[in-house]
Amino acid sequence: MIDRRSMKNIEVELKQLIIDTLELQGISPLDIASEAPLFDGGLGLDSIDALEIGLALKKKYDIHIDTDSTEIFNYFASIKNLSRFVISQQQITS
Amino acid sequence: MKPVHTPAAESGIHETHLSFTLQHWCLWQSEETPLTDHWPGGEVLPYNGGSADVGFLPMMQSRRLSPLARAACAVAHHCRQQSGDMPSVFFSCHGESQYYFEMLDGIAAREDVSPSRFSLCVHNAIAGLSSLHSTSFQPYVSLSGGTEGLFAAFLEAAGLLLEAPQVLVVCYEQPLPEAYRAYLATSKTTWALAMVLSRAGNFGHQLRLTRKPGKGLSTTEDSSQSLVQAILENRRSSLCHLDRSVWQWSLDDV
Repeated sequence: MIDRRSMKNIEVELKQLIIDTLELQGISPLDIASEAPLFDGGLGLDSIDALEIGLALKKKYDIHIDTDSTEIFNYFASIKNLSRFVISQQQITS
Repeated sequence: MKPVHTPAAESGIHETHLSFTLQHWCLWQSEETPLTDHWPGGEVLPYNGGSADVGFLPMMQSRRLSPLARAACAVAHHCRQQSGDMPSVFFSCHGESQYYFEMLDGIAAREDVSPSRFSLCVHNAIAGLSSLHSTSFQPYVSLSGGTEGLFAAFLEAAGLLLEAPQVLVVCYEQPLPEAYRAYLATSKTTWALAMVLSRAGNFGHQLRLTRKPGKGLSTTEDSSQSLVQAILENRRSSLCHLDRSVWQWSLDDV
């Protein structure tokens, strides 16, 4: 069971990770809504950004992303979805 | 302008003559230079703390630009602002050498390669980004050094001018990573030069170049940077010795 506090923490952590990794100058975690789409409008990221985020997740959380998975679009849809994905992967490995 | 080949004194050896009208030029380099006198008909962009200003781009487009890409995109942008869209020739001997050396270092250390770094260090990346930034639908070519140095860009421009009224030539270099410097001539600064060229005889200064075949003097200086220096000092003619040729150029009044 994921408590609300740890979900919130990981969301902020992921927002900062994305800002640092993708060099989003002038943007703070407060500017990114957890439910807003990361791609297709929203923050306006592209496919190279998705690969870069995947690499950052691997480095920071040791998470391997299966690029053949049909679920991948859902994981990367928003910060909220990405947070759920990261927590679920951490629970698998812990 | 169509290249003209004329026989030189030695049998079977040809000179190549290229002539253009220089419509406009724009230069940036990572070194503050006293701007007392430079070539007419163009501008030197502000030093801006050692990083070319790309404030004309939205953050999502400028965020990934390397120092070299910022310089090249800035001078290309200013020339397109002045002269409109046109086919372009992007030239650099070594391109994003800092990026690809860092990447090779990382691979040697068994680290993962950054996808954006990889995509941005291919040789035509800067030309592609500049085309995207200006929403250009005009063709562009991206050239590397070869034996003719940056003069290869003028040969390509002469070809493109057979079909287009004007061509944008963008040349850019940066200091090589330390590991390469024992083997190759390196630029002392990061710089980018854009020139709008049209056919000879139009209104504007005339840029004339002559290539003579032959063994040039071996030099450790970057031949491209000597042109930049000439522009900044308002020198209107020079000789440039390369491995297989000697290029003579002059900028003449109308």
